[in-house]
Amino acid sequence: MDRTVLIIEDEKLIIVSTQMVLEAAGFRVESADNGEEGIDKARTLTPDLILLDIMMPGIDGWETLTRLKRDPETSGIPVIIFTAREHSRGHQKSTEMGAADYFRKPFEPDELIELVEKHVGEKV
Amino acid sequence: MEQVTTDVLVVGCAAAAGQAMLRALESVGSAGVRAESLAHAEELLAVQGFGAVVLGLDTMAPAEAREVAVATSGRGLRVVGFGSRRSAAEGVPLDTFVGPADGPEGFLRALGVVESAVGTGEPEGVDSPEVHRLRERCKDLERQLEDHAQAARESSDSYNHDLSRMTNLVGSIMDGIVFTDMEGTITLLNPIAEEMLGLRAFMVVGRNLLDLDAEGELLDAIRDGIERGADWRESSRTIEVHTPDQDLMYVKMRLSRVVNYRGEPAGSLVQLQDVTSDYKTDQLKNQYLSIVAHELRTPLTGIKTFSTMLAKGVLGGLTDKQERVVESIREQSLRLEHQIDKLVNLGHIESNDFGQDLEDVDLAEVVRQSAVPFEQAANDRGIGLIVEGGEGAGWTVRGDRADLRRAIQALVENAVKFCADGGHVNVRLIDQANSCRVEVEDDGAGIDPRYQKRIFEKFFQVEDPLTRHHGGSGLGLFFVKNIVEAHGSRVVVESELGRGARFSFLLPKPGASVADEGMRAVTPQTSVEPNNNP
Repeated sequence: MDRTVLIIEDEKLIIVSTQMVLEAAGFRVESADNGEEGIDKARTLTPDLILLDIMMPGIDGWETLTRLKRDPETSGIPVIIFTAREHSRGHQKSTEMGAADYFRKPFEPDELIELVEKHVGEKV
Repeated sequence: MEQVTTDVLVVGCAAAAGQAMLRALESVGSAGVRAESLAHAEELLAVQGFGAVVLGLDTMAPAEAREVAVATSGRGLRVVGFGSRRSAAEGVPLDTFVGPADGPEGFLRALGVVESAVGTGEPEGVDSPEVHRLRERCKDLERQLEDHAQAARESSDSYNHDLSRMTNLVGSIMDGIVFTDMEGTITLLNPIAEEMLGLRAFMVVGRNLLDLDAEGELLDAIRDGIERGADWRESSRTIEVHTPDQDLMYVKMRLSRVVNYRGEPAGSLVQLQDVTSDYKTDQLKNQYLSIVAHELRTPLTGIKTFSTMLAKGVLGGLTDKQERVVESIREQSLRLEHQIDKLVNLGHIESNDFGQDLEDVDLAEVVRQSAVPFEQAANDRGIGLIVEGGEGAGWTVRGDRADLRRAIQALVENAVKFCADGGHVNVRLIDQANSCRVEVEDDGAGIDPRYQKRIFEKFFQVEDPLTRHHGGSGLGLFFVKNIVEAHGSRVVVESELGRGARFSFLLPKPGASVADEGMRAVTPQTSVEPNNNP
């Protein structure tokens, strides 16, 4: 069975490049370019893992994460925070808010695959 | 000695001598009155009964003395003459003559108020050499005592002068200043500190800072600093303070140990500096840099990912030439990423924000990654850039991944930069029981020993900035030092001029501390800065 990763990210470029890396590694990839749409897709697709950007127009990544974790339908999906911006104690904050991991852009494709593999089986 | 009470009239005599006589009389219970003049004496004799009269022969004309002596002895009074020379008593009908050498007792005996003591040995005032010597000694001691008293008065004046000068000086400093003794008792509080802490010097000086029931973020920080006082010589941190008007103020607090003239700890000096405007500017700058970095990193992610996928052959096979070009795109993108990281790091200069994002980090991976951005440059200059060690597992350390990569990259970048063309740079990862050791070694020009401490200072560069050809911001090693110290370790530099340089540091494996390896451990996340000054 295909393992599905949902990317919630407003930058088309990041979606395309991430998709290419993950598909090459055998994942099915879905995407949403804002938080609201991401939450909807998380409900309907129940992906195995979510890659979530922080800086997005509309509701930002932190708010999206809060809503995903509050909703029993999506709270069991592991979320990896995915950011290009420096956040003071970002890793700590994301862990406290229930994210499975924290990842900085630009990334090494191999590291991304490694990280996704690490958390993809954690869905409950 | 038996005492008889007699009233005595003193006539003549200089004021001091007269007073001394009256005191001597008083000491044995007799009363004495000194007449200011002959007329006064006559008045006194008319109204009061006296048992004896003393004539001060030195101050009276012989005729007067004789007249008074005749008149008083006619009334049945005992007449005693007092003078420095016996010759002054010639022709004056006296019962007795006494001189200064007879002393108070001789004087009193002559007056009859003290009966002659029998068998008391030598009368007082005898000029025995022993008595004379003792008297001189007493005078000597008195003089010495007076000298000491004078010196003490002068020293106290000068102390008070210094103290008031210092108080004025401290009072006019634009920073808050608080002095306490070792127990925490406030000895000085200047007006700015009064304002910042909401205290009044006259109410709190002399009281223990730790026991004051006043509250406040600054006060708490000071108490905390003083209580932890044993292990610092100087520390500084920036404190966020909520002002009564709902605004934020940032205060840089410096605590220093005050020592006495013997070098022993004597108390604490607290300096409070309002750095709000600097801090706000700093925050804006960081915010701006962070946004710039975000804008640059997004396209970079694309370049990096696509070139990697191309290089891996995911998108189809490449010719050798294409492969080299793609590899070059990849390296340049890593280099660009490193430059962006450095730009963002500029914002960290004052933030003490290193090593905050702790996670389990595969150090071997970080070390390998750190060398990649410089492979092209090294290759172009014929420099052998080699990464050794790090095979297999067991390289996990607890740390801030991005910061560690920054630190190691900065070391590799420097090593390549200062290496001669055709030289060697070795990056090593070594397993050392409880910790992992990272080493970056080059065989370049080396570092003059006198600069080996200073190279870690912010903006310090050995080269003259006007003539240098290596470029750089002068921040690389400053970050390395801060990052490594934030991880509880320290950077060691070994170098000789002309013999290259080796930078190394240890990172503890989970569950161990670098202190186990005999290195100084600096607790991460503390804002206490060790003071490098002697």
